[in-house]
Amino acid sequence: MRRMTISRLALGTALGLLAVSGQAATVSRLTPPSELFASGTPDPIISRFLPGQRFDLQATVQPDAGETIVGFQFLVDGSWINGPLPLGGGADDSRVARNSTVTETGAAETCIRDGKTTGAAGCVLAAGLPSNTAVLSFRAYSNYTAGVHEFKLIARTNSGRAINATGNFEVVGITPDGKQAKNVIILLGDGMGASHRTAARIMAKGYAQGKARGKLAMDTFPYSGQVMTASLNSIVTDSAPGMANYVSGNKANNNEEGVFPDDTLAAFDNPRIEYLSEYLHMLQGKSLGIVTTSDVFDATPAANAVHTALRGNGTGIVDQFLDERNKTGLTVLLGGGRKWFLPNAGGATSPQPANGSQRTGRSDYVLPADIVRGWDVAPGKIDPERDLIGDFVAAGFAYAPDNTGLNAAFARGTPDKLLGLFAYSNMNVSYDKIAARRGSRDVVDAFGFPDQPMLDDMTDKALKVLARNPNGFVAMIEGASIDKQAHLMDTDRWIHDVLEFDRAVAVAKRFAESNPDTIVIVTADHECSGASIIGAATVSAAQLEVDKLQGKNVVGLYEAAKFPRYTMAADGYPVTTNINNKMLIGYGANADRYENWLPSAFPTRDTQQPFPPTQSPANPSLRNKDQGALITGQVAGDQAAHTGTDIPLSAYGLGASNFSGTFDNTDVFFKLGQIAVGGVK
Amino acid sequence: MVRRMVVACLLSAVSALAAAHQHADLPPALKRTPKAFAVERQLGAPPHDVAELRFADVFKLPVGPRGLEPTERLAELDGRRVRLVGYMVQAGVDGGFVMSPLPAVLGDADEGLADDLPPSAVLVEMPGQAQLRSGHMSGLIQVTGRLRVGSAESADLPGRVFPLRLELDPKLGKILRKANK
Repeated sequence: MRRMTISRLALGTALGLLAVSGQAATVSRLTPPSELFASGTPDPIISRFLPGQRFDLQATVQPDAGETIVGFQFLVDGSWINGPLPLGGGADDSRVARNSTVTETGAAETCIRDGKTTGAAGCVLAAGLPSNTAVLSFRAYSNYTAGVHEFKLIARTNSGRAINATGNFEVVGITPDGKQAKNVIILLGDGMGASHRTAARIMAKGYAQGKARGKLAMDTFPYSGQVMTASLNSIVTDSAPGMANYVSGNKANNNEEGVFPDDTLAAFDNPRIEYLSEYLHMLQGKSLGIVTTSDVFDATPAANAVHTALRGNGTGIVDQFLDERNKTGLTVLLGGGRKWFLPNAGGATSPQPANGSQRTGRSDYVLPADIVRGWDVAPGKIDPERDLIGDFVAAGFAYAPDNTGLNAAFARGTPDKLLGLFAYSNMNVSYDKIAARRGSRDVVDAFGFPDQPMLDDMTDKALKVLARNPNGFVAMIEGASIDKQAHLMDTDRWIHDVLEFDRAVAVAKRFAESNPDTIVIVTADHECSGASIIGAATVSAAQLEVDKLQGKNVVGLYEAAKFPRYTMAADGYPVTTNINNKMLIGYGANADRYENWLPSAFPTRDTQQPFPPTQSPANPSLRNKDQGALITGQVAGDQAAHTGTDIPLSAYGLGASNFSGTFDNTDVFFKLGQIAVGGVK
Repeated sequence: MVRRMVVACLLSAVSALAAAHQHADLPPALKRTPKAFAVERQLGAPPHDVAELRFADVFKLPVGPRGLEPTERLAELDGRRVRLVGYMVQAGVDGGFVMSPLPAVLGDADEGLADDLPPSAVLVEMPGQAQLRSGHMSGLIQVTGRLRVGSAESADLPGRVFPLRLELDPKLGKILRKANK
C-alpha cells in the first residue's frame, strides 16, 4: 500500500529543525546506485545521466525498533529538491505529489514474522526487512548541470532522529559540436558474439586460402568497438538489462528493464530511468520503432519503452507500449506475441471462447500515483479483457497480422503508424521460415502462422513508416532467435538467424546511405552459449548420418578443418547447412548434450502419424540421445547459458567514429546522446 | 482502497511466483516411457468410448488476424474422453504436464513467456496425483482423458493460460506415478 506523505513531510520539516545529528546509517538502499553509498569510495561513478534525463530518487530506510519514518529530504549538492514544505505552490505543488512513502501495510499475520517482513503474496515489501522499514521516493527528478553531484537522504523518525545516507551520480554533458543525427538505428543481434558473426560469414561467404570471399553487411561498417556487457548485479547479464543499459545509460539488475532495483514486491513501481526514446521524443519529437523476431513483450523489445522489474509481466508490458506511446513516440511495433493483445474475458467457465489470449490480471499493471504524477503517464489498469489490437487501431495504427497484411498496409501509401503481430509468441526462426518458402511448410503450419515476414522485410517497412517523421526516429531492430537457438545449441538455426539479421543490417545500411543524417550501430546485448568455431568435420554429411556416435573423432582441427564451402541459394540462404566437411561449433557454456553434428530437424509429419522417438527431439539433452556422443556440460539444466564475454559493435553513418575502443554498454547511450543532440563534426 | 489492495495482492503474487532465470525444478527424465503412454508404431483407432483429438482440431488454422478460433470439432468433444498424441513439454508442473504438437521446452533460463510453444498446447491434469511432478517422457506419447474446453492455468507456470485441459484417466495417472518411483 502506497501512501502520500504530504502532512508527514511537513511534520518532518519542522522536526528536522530540531533533529539531533545523524545516527548510524540504517539506509539499506539508496537510488540511484552509487559506489559512494555502497562502499564509501567515490569511484567508479555508477549512475550517469544526460542533461535533463529524468530518473527517480529512492531510499530504503530501516529505523530503530519502535520508530517510524515521518519525513524525508532528498538533497543534491546541498539543495533540498523534494521540498521544502509547504512548497510555494501549496498542496498542489507538483513536487508534493511526486513523493511517496511505502511501508508494510499488508496483514500483519501474513506479512510480518519475528519482526521481519515475509514478502508473502499480498504483502508490500520484499522479505527480510525490519517490519518498520520505509521506502521513500521522489519521482522524475532531472539535473541539467554537467559533473558529479552529491546526493543525500535525510530521513526523520518519530523520535526526531535523523538517518542520513550519501551517494553520487554524474550528469554527462552534451557539447554542441556540429551536425546532429536525425535518425538512430540500433540493430541488436541477441546473444550474438564474435563467433556467431564469424560462423555466419564462413557459411554465407566462404574462405579461399585464408581470405574471406566476401563480408557480411555488418562487416562492412567502418568503425568497430568492443562492449562490456555486465549488468548491475552480475558479470553475466540477461537480455533485459543487456538492452536497457544501451538505451538508458545506466546499469539495471537482471530481469529488470528501465528501472533500478527496489525493495517492494510490485514490479511496475520501481525507480524509473528515462529511455533514449523518451528523452529524444521529449527533446526533439522523435518517433520510436521496435522490430523483433521474438514475442514483442520479450526483454529486448520491452527494454526500449517499458519500465518494469519483472520481464515476464506480458500483459502489463504490452499495455504500457500503447499507454505511454505519447512519451516514447512509439510508431512501429512489429514482431510476434499476438497472445498478449487478445481480449481475455476472464474466468474458467467451460465452455468459453478460447481465443488463445494470455492476458491475465496477475501480469498487468496499475501505477502508483507518484509515478503517474511525476512522469505524467497513464495509470494503467488491470484489464485482461482489453482488446489491445483494437486499441492500437483506434490510436491510428495500421494492423498487419501476416506478411500479406504487411504488404497490404502499404498498398495505399505508407501508414502513419504500424502494428504487426505475426505469431502467437516468438516468430518461427529463419531456418523454418525459409524452409516454408522452399515448400517445407510443416513447422510454420503447425504453429498456425504460415505467412510470416522475414526480418529484412519488417525492417524495410518499419523504416519507411518511421522516415515520415521530419524530426527523425529511434529504431531498435532485433534478431532475437540468435540467442534463443544458441541457448538450445541448435547450431544450424542460430547461424541461419544471423544471416537473416545481417540482411536486416543491409537494409538499414542502405537507408543510412540515402539518409546520411543517420547513425547505425550493430551490436548484441551479450554473448550466448560460449559458441566457438572449433573446426570442421573430416567426413561427409552422409558419413555423419551413418555413424552418429563419432563425436570428437570427426572434428578436424587446424589445417584439417580446411575451408568449409556452403552453397547459397538465390533467396540468400544456404541450400543446405548439412554439407560435407561442415563447420563445427563447440559450446563453452553448454549443458549436457548428445552431439552428432547433424542439423536437428523437427518432425515433419502429422503428429497423429507416429514415427520413431529418435526423430522427435524433446530438448537438446535428449535430442540426439543414443544417436550422438555425450558431451558433458558445465551448466546445469538443458540449455546453454549467456556468457560475460565482451561483444563486438560495428557502427556506420553520422558519428560512427565515436564507437571505437573498448567501452561499457552504458557508454553507448551517451555517445548516441552526443550524436543526436550535440551533434558531430 | 480495497481495489488497490487487490491490485497489490495480484501484483505481488506474480512477483513472488515468476522469475525469468529460474530453472524449473525438473525431475530426471524417465528412463523408459511407460507402455501405456509410448507411441512406437501406427496407432489403431481409439476405444469406442474415446474420441480422437488432434492438435489440428483445437484451433482453425491458419490462425485468424484477431486471434485463435476453436473448431466446431473441439466444441463437440468438450466433456468427452479423448485420446491425444503429441510431445510432453519439458516443464516442471505438479500434478500434470503440458502436451504439444511439436517438441518444446519451457522454463527457459532467458525467455520466460516468450517461447516457441504452439498455441494449441494442452494442459494435462492428473486427478489424484496433485503432488506428482513427472519425469519427462521423451518422444511421441499418447494420453487419454476427459477434455475440458476453457481457460486453464497451472500454479507452476504462472502467467500462462491454456485454452483447454485434459483430465488424465486415473489409471494412467497411477501408471505414471509408479513409473516415477
